[in-house]
Amino acid sequence: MTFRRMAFQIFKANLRRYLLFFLCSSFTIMVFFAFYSLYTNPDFNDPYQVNGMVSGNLYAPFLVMRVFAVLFIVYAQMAFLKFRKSDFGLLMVLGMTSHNIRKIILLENSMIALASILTGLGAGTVFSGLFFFIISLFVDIGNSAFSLTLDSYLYTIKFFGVIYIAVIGIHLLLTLRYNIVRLLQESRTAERSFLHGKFTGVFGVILLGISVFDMIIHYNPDDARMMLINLGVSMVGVYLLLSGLCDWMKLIFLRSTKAYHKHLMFSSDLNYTLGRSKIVLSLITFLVFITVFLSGIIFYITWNAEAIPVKNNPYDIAYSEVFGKNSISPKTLSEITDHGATPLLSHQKLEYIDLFNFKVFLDQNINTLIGSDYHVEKDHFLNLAIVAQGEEWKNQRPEMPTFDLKLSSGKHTLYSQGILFNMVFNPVPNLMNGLHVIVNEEDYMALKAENKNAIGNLQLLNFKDWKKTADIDAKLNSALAKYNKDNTESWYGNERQEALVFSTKSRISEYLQLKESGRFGIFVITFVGLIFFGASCIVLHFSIQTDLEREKIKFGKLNKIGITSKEVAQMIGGPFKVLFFLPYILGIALATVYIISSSRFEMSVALGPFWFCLLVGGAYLLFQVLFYYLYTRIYTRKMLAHIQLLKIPLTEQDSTPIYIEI
Amino acid sequence: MPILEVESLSKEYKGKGKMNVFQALNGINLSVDSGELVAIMGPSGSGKTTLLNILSGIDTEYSGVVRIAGTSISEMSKNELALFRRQRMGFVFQDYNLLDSLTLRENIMVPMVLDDQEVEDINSRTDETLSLFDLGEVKDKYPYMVSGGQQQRAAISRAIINGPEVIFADEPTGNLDSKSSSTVMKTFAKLNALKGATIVMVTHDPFAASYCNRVLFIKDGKMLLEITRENKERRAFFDRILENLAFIGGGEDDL
Repeated sequence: MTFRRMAFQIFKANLRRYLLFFLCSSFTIMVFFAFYSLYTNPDFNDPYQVNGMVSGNLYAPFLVMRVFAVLFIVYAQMAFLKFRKSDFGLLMVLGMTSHNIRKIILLENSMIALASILTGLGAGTVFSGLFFFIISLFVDIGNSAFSLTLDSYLYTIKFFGVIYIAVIGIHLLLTLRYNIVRLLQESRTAERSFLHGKFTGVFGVILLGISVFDMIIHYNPDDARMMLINLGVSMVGVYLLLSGLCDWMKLIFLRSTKAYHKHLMFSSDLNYTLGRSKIVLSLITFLVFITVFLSGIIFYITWNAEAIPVKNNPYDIAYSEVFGKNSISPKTLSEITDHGATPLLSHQKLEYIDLFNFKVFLDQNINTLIGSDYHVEKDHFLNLAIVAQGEEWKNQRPEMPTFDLKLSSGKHTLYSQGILFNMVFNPVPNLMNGLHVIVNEEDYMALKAENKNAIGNLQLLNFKDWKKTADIDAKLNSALAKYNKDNTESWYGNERQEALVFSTKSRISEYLQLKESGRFGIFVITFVGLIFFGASCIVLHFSIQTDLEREKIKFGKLNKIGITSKEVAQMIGGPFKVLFFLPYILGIALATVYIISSSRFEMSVALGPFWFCLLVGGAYLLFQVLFYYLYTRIYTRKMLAHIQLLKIPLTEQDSTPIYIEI
Repeated sequence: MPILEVESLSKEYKGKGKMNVFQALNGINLSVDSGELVAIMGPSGSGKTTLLNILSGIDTEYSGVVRIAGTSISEMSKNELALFRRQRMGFVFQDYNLLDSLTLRENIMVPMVLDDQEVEDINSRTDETLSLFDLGEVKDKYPYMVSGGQQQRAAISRAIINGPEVIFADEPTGNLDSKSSSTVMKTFAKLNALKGATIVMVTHDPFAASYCNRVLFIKDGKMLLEITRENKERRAFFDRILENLAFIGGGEDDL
């Protein structure tokens, strides 16, 4: 028998072990490929075909998907090699050299990696079509067509190829440290961890505290790096906290002799469980955090699809006439507004001067419109920030200190009198491509006299029921586009872009977009959430499997001393509760803190998203409770059967869908 | 007064097919009095360990009657047996059966902890047992940090912590060198002499068996004969055991 033949025989004998690992890897690659195909679909990313809010909702989940793919494949590979370590020890006892072991690792893992990538891509090709079809049922994707590009295949191969090469390379290096005795004991000894002890836990709590404090105090919506760094620090904190948790629990139990005796077995089991599962628990905490955080935001936005457009648009429909664009006649306008599903209540106008980079308003016009009493002093101006977020946005919108009026008489510098945060009008597209300033009458008139062509008029329409204005808004946009096409020169040489820039800004269109993007967001996040839930179940299963041999030996020994089935169930349930629920509680707690600190700035609300976060977290926890009961029940029954406290026919054991080798 | 009574005990192992039946035990009758130190000997495959597993309630698939302190264990459920085993029996195994994740002291107190006994009782009895078997210095060490002899003494300590009516030992010296074997057997003898403990031991080792008051020989699942030490010197009893072993036969590995 040649070496290659023997390695293949070993591979064949271990096929059942490989199967779950292979399926997990293939599934991850399949989902990754489907996401990437959609993410790079040119039609789906075309803002003229698919609402930008919809395609934008894919960014965060796909980013998380990439992080997850790396962590999951690395972890699954590590867990798998742990299973094999005692086999390697035995093979080394029989005379295999480290070099031979390295060849086996390389051969086995390369075969799995290659098979996983090929299967993943094959299944991904079918699945991405299905994924696209399901999405088309949820949202309006216009004329977007499903397409697969060579880039999707190459990127997926490169992405996973690099992960596999790195992981296999690291494992090959680690074989240099292989020691027969340690390999054979691998399944029976607690993890030798460098990071443990009470101080590690304290340091973890401090890191968690710092990152949470920084998020609450210094959160900056424009600084995504800050959030990612804090998230990274939080995850390191979680890892260190878990590393030191066991020592803390021991310390607590030791303070009371009664507690020490009562929890003697639990405490020693936890030592092993936490020792082996720190990485798993940290990974699950991360998955739960991401799912709950993103779901909380998306559910809140969808739930508030009515409140957000009202907050962002003081008028039901607004558009701007400027540079000859959008100058439809009053007759055309009234034909549209008079024949809609809801009557027009008011039609107001606001004049401004469009200097491209700056849109200049007169203080008195603003006062007339919104009933304020702003008064701009001579040689001064007011910065106007059109934001719905209010004063909390202050740090994000800097105050411009001076503004130069370029007049024929020369440059006249105005000085800032302050910054005004007020949603004075709807953020109409052609008005939002510049900064807004308010000046006094003298300066405004001087500027107006020299920029007659740049005088714009903002048309602000209010109806009885804005939710019935969809038809009016659509007709108005058609009329504006037709007018601009028939009467003006195209600015962009592109009809769709022209229509987009000179379109209306209405509550109803934002409402419909939010509803649509919310539907898509909920679909994607539910999908990702379910995948993460499945992944967390699988990594937990992997982790429990690595401890299985030791547990079988332990319960076998306890059975000889005398242990009832109820006591076995209790002993299994204790550490399992920590494994199954601790990361969920940590992840949900972290997500709620992060959501409060970010939504306070982004949406000027804190408690709304928080409740949604708790709701999603609660639902997620409920799933986990069900999984815990199911898994613990099966595990306990099989353990009881192993120690002959319960009779389970062998055939039943073999046919159980969850892979537990007892 | 008998503490352990066995009547017509039989055990079959069934394989595939009607003809494939192996009779491991065949109508064994046995009685052990309180305070006796008894050894069961026999060649490999004679049914020694099967007998011990049945007596101790680990194996429940058999026919016949087994009574311990007047209670028939044949009628108990597996959970009742588990409690009976923990509270009224003690066990010593060839591989010590200590839990790797607990220190020797913690291992010794496990049966009392599982029974949720009073903290003071647990501590005082554990400390008393530790000093009885001279384990004070290694009490806070884990099993893999101490010698086989120390592990076996810890296992014996655990076996007696609940004050059992009978102690069962399965090849207690099987994994030990001769010096440690001697220490362990002296420990059993001390326990028997000082505390009047009833000990039933399965062994291959004639040297270990020579510490007992009575030795039962079984072969092919049947009780062949029994010898008693009476007032003989241990050396003379040892020779008699050897003679009987030669008489009933057995492979070299059985000696």
